[in-house]
Amino acid sequence: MTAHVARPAGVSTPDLGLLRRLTEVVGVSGDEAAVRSIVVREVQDLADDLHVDALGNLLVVRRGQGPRRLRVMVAAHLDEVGLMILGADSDGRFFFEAVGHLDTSQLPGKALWIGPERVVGVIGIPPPHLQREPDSHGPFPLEELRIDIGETSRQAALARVRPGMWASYATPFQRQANSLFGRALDNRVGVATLVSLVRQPPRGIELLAAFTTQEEIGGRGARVAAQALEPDCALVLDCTPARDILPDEDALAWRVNTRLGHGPALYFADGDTVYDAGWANHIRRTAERRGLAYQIRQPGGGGTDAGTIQIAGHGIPCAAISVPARNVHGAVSHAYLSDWRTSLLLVQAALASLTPAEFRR
Amino acid sequence: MKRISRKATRHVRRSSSQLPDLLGRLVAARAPAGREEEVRALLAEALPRGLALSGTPLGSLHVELGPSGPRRLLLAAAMDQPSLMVSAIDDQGRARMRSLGPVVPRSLAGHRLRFDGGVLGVVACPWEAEPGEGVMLESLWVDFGVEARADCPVGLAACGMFEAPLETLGGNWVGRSVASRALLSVMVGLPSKLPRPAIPLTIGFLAHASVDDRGLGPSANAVSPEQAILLRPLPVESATGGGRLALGRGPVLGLPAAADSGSRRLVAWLMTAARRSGVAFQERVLAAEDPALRILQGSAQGIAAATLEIPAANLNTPAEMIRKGDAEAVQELLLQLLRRADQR
Repeated sequence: MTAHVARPAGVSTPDLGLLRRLTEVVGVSGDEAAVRSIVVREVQDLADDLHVDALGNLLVVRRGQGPRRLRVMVAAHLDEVGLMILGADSDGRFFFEAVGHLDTSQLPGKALWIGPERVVGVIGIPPPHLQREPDSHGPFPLEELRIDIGETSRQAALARVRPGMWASYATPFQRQANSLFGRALDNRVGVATLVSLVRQPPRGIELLAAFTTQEEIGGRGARVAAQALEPDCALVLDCTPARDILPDEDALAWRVNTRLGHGPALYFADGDTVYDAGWANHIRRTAERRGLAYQIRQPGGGGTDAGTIQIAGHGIPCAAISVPARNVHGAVSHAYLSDWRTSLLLVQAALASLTPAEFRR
Repeated sequence: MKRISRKATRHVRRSSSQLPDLLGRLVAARAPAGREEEVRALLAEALPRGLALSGTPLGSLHVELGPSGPRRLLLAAAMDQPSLMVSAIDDQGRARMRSLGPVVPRSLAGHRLRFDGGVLGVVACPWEAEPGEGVMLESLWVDFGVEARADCPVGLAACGMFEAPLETLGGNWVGRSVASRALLSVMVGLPSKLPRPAIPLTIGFLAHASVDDRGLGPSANAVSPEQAILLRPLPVESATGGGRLALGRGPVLGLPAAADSGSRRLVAWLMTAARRSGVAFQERVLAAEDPALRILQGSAQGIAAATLEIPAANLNTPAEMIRKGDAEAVQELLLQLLRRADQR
């Protein structure tokens, strides 16, 4: 049991070192242990209660102060999209399948980390001057791609990498001025935000921090966590695509979704969920009152853990705040540090001023 | 399969003078998914005083009647209705939309939409679309009479609906979401007509139901009944009797094709009640997996579930239409069902 830490100046300073460590481990859906270990080390000395459930969700409670405080579940998913090794050809190259919604057109030519030992592999393609003409235009079918780890026989390859191992892009984290480049910013940036919140929770709520598993394959961990926690409401922290680099064709301008540099994105509806309007408007009003940049995520398409949290138990009012990033689910995502910093401030402020009145019917 | 009851086929006539007044107000009220306050308030106001009311955090309203004990029955229907949400605003101040719930895009072109705060817009579509060509929601936009993004009177996530007040057309009612609103009117009238049902009963007015039945599971978990009947509209091919199912032949009972498309026992109970009361009904075989019934069956401790559907022509369009007699038949069937405890 720990007392609440007095809030220092710059309470919501993004922890870049933590984000780096989180993005440089592989945690494909169903194999989140490495990511969870980092989070446990960060929060275990602060938690009033901490446990890992049967699906691997990490549930952390900070009780807060005051009577009749709202029980607020704040969820951030630990997992990422990736690949699973299925087997090896006789020449020692591996075939595989996608886990989660992966942009398979980005796979050719990419380097991967495979398994707990982070064995390096490459998804090879012929150089352009040796490609048959059709190959140089369209995407390669997933079933024709192979991962090369440098072995030349099945036996030798299987001695290092086994079927069932997960793999993901081998991308080191880099900061360049206001830009953050890294793999799996969806949702390591949300995880880092939630860790910050656990370190310095708003006093007037009971914080039920849920670092969830298997979001990318259907929000499975989040539903279980919500059923266990039975919160009064839930806030999801995630990372959402920014499609703000457009060709000149204006017809595409209405499919932007979000933009970098315009602050965190608030949700009113996505492909699964109609978010609680009162909760969403509370966040919006908080941002306006505090002079914090924000944007409305374009309604429609995609989803978050709210898709399963909302319908758990007797129903849970949900809101979501996401940091925008380009190339989500790709080899290198790109987010702005300023957007992340603003999201930290907004999450803190919105939770600190949240009252039951927002959810009265 | 179409079969019309060969016993007394006349509809039992009951006074329905209260139905049109409340129905008109429900049709005029707006209830996008998650924003059902207006409809919920109308229903709460129409209910007799002194009833045990409860709900869910998503906004559903539950009314508990009858004795305590096992075999509680949940009668459930959606409060919310399909609507449109602004998904983008272009440089000319025109809005693109996404649907919340089932929307028929081809029925929108040229119609007026009313958005939050009473803002009026007109749905436009490209001139180059060939007549008869399928219209996609993505190709439509809303014109507010402005010429710049900064002048657009609505923002992202604003909700809009077409305007179609309740009208009488011969023996029919026509209006926005008139089928689901008629079911709500019937259900809210049950406590007055049958203040002491013979079985434990909960009437559930569901929020978030028009979007993939999302409010159904939470309500079922909260009520935890052993059996449930889901009342909902059913689109029929013809308003004039040319199809297998039609207006004016009574409500439709869904026959389960497989285990996860409903409870045969419940359907048999409904049929018995219909025959005893002389209410005409129609039958159809449900799809092998009915998503709503699957949700009910997997909720709480497991729920035996069935459907009771009111046929509707032009469903989810400004010309949505039901036969008055079908709504009255639904009411009479439910009253018969709830008067007797011996067949559940």
